Amino acid sequence: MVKSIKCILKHLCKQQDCSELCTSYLALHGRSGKGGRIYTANIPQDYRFVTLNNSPSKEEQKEAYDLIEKYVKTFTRQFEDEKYVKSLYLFSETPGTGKTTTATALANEYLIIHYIGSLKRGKQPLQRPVFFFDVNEWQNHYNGFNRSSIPEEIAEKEAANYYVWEEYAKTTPFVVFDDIGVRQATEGFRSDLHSVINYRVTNRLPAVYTSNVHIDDLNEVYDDRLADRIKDECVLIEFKGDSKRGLN
Amino acid sequence: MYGESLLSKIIDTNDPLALKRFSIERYHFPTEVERQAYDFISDYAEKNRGNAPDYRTLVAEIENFNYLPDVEDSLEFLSEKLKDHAGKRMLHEFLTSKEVSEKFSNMTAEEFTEWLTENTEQIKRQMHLNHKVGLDLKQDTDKFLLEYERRKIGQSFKIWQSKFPSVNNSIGGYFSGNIYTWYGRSGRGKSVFVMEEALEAACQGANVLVWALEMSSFEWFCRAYSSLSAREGKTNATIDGVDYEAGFENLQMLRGKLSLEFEEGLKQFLKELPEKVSGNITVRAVDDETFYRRDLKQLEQDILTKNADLVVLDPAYYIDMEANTSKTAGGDVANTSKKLRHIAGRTQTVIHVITQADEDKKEKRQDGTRELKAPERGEIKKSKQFLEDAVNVFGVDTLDGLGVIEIGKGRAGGEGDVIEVIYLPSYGIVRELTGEEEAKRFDTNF
Repeated sequence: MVKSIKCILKHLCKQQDCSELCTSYLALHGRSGKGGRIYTANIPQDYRFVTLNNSPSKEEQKEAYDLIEKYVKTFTRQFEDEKYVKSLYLFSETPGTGKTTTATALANEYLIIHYIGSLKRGKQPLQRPVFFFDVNEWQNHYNGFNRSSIPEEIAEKEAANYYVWEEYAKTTPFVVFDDIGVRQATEGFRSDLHSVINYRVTNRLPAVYTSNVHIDDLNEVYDDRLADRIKDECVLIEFKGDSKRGLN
Repeated sequence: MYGESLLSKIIDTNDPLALKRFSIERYHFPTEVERQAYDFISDYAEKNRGNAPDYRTLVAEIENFNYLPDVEDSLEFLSEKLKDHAGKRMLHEFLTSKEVSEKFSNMTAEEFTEWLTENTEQIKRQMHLNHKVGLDLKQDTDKFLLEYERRKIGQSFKIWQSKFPSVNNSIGGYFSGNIYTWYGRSGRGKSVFVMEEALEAACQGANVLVWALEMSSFEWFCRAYSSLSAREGKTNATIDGVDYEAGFENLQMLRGKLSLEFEEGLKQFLKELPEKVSGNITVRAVDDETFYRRDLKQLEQDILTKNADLVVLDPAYYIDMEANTSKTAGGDVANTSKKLRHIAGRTQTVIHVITQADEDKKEKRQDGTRELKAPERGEIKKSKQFLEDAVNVFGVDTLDGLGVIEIGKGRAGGEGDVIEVIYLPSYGIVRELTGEEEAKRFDTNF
């Protein structure tokens, strides 16, 4: 009985001798298939195996994907000192056009290139080269300890989560900021988000943002300073069409 | 006789400081008259800027003191003789005392030997035979060069390489005379990592002594055979239909349920084992019937008996701690740790110490999952001193087929590199995730 092994590296592997004991499988997925670097990267379970090639949005968003494929080719710059990878802003007016799918595909591509590229350079791949940062969830954590009459133990846990994520969002080499600008933010939260993005821009760390707010309208949700920081060295890619959610 | 000669010579040469220089104590002199003379000279020197009294003064003050003019022997020779006689006198007095015969009747042979050793050691110390204090940076160069030559040919000083290449890159291997402390939360692979290092050293020819205070010897053997067989890809384990080079499966060995084919393989493997492992491994485990004393004295004795080069204490907090002489919290651990360091130095062994980090409730996410991450040093509360006395510390964690070793500097503080490990101990596979071999798997241009 052969258990089929699902592995994000399969299309690049010459040996195809897949097993739970394969070093690279363990490194990416863990023995259970739900661990490893994909877990550490916080990639949502449903998007664990999405790459540019198998992305369901590829056909629908052909124009966007033409650009994105070129963008992925710049990911090897992570191994160079002089050049750096730019940031992307994936925008569509309606939700459900495949932005998040595409952003996770980009995160996975970056992870793959980081993993194999590091091995080839004789370096140990980082534990967390990419991080999927759900901005809404982060804001939930924020609210989880900033409202009145929250039991102390819950607030403590929420705060701990919040600050750990903040640290990851700042320092991880490649971060997806999913769904930026959907909710009004308090001054405190905005200032934390600003500090995260400011840190990344200052240190030339690339990010992919997804949003239903146009990059030029971001100042209406946040403020001018934060909006300007996001626009810095950032390429806008528009996703077309109606929502595909719930059709399949 | 030597006492009087010595004191007379000190008067003649006006050198009362010699008493201090050669660590001469009052009790070294056999007669009361000599002791009084000793007191008088010491006292006089203290009050008279280090000068000795005139011999006439001494004779006048100390009745019956027999001054001997023109002693030719050196002060050094006389002191040594004096102390030797004193030692013999004290030994005689002690050995013929009633106490000795009483203890001999009441104690077991082991207890008595120990008590006797302790007391005779005490007398030896009182003799102050090694009157040379420390080494002289300018004078003792011969001794330095001799040690250098011994190191050059690998005699005095040994380095045992780690199984994990990055540990060797980072700290150069394990140096004899040092303690290395491993810490992690419960059930996260501390014992396995250290066992790998012990087996690795044995493969390099080390005599290894293991105190497995949480494991039965059969369990330890199973794991060790599993790991040693995995090193040579002994079995082709069939996992999910794919042949995989691995070791004998640990769990099946523990349950006595290896397949017939593997059973034969195991027997063959064990037959060939002596040729493959050049060093020796002695395991004292919880189920060892003769292993009821678990203190440092016993450890040192075991090291000497087995001529051990490398020692594993798994875990350190199960050994019988030394007395808490400082009367502060954790004083017993501090004392034990300090003594352990002395043992490592004296016996020129590498000692791997295992201790435990506390559980962290915040470690898990809401869905019950967690990340692979070595604990912080601050999370060790009870036996912290073992971290502080180690030259390097290793924080470990394992999860879902992977492991990490985080190297920290012990006494110097600070944190260091993180090494990732493929961690499948049930198949004896515990090895660093290294690039070159694995990279060949991929045909890519990045």
